Amino acid sequence: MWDAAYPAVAFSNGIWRAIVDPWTEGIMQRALAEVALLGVVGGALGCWIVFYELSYSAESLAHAMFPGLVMAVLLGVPLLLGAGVGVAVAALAIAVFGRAPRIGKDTSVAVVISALFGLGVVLAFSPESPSGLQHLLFGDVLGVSNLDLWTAAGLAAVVLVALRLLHGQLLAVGFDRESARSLGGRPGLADVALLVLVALATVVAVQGLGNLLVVAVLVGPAATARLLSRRMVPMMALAALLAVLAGIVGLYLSYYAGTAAGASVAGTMVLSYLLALAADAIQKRAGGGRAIGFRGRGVVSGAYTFSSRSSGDGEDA
Amino acid sequence: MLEELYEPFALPFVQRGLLEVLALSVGAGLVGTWVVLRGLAFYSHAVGTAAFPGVVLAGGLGFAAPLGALASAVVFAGGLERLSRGRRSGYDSLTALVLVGMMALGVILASDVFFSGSDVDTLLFGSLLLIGRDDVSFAAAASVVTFFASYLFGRVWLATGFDPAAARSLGLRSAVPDAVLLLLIALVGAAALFAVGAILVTTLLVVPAATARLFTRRLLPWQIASIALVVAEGAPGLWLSVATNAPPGATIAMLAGGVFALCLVVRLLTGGGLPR
Repeated sequence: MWDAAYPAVAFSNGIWRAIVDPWTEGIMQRALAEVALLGVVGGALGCWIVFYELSYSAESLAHAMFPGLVMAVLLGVPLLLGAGVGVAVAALAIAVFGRAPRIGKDTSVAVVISALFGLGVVLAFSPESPSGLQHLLFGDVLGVSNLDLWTAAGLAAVVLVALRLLHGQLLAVGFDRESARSLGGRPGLADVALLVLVALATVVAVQGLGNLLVVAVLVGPAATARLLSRRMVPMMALAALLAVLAGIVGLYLSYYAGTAAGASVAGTMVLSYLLALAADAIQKRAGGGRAIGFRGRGVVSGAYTFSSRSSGDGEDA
Repeated sequence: MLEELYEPFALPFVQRGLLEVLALSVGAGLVGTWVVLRGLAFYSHAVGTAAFPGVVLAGGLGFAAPLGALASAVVFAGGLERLSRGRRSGYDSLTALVLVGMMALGVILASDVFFSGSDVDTLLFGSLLLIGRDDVSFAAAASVVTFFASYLFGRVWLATGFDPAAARSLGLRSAVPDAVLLLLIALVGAAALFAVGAILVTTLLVVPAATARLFTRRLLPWQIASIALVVAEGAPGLWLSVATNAPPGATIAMLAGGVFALCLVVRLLTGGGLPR
């Protein structure tokens, strides 16, 4: 009756309901939690992936763990276990094949991906496997269980703590390998640690986005944040925030437009990057503001990096 | 015994699959050598996957699928070029982003606009057993174009290929030969999609050339060996997939990966360590 008497109240009530409605169901609440977890981990780690130019490694790890996911379904063990084993095998294969003479690392990575992905597809189409393995490819954010969420939360915590501990090391090595070594940094350690973290983050995110779309959260929000911030810690916070926001927008889209959830989340992340890029270009053309964009390895300015390292607490969040 | 071996190849749809492998071999083998030489493996993986939404669109609206694939791959190549213009790095992040964006678009088109259903699996993983006459013609045309383009631009591509610094920044120097190479990879990638699927185009575009590279340094023998390997892995893979009732593209991918691993072991044993 209030609605009839006060159209403005009815209108705002309607909007409020449209905003709140999706989250009344358990499925959507768990989806929200999963999106928040993968957003925070993917966004923060993504800044390092973009900084170290590891996008191809991130993508290939996600693709190459497909046989692990299929085996998990075939054997009836938790998906995260299969993902973990799959990632470990993929990383090992990339490390071994990467030593092949005369061909570049990218090429050997491509060989590993196609072989392992082929294996996964053959397993997925074997008579024993249940039909409809598309949720492995594109994610099933609406089918996340509580156990999955707790496991993912644990892994996410490990990644975030490791990022905190390794921060100085990663920054020094990423900025300049040679001078990092002379300052006591260890480039090899940083590289391996980063790959392990990428593997863990992939395992966290695969539930929601599937192994074909996982790279969206590992690269998209970080690349967007990099357009807006030059300093590492604000960039990581911004990327995590953007990732979670894009995830929520994607879930709304999926709820109201009925689109595939994983693809909606991934698409929103890519779109937000393209929007930021367009805004950046317009701003540059207008002549105002500083020229921002991909600055290569110079994204963290030398003076800043080393002053923060020497003072010890300058840039830590 | 021998007759049993040939039996699958008597089936008309298997013959057409075999024809597709042959038609693709020149294009895939030649482009493969350039991809390996120039370090463009990620790009060729991405451009194949990016053709996916175009094929979904073609299926939904009812126009020729090769056209959709090619248009989609060219949009990807052009978009990447436009976005990366003037940037010195971040090329790999851009590739990954545009790639996953195209993938998400394809998924939404397939599942929510056209309700393509099981066609999606065929598009993602390909099926040499469902090849049409159009697909074979398209593959043959791609091979012919590749042959002439390699003849015309090969010298330039070779020169830039041996300068690693230039190869790293590829795509950022908008010279004509580089653009031609990127478009050529898009063309052959779109053609290979129908044989081995959007995600596995590297099976034909990268793996055979990488395997041949282990044994030869000179361009011509390398090119010939790559073309031969495409056939030598494609035909038995096709046969194996019919015999085991497995998807052909994925079977070829496994086989090619296994051959590469074997060749790597042989190379390491005979070569005495790793010549780095």
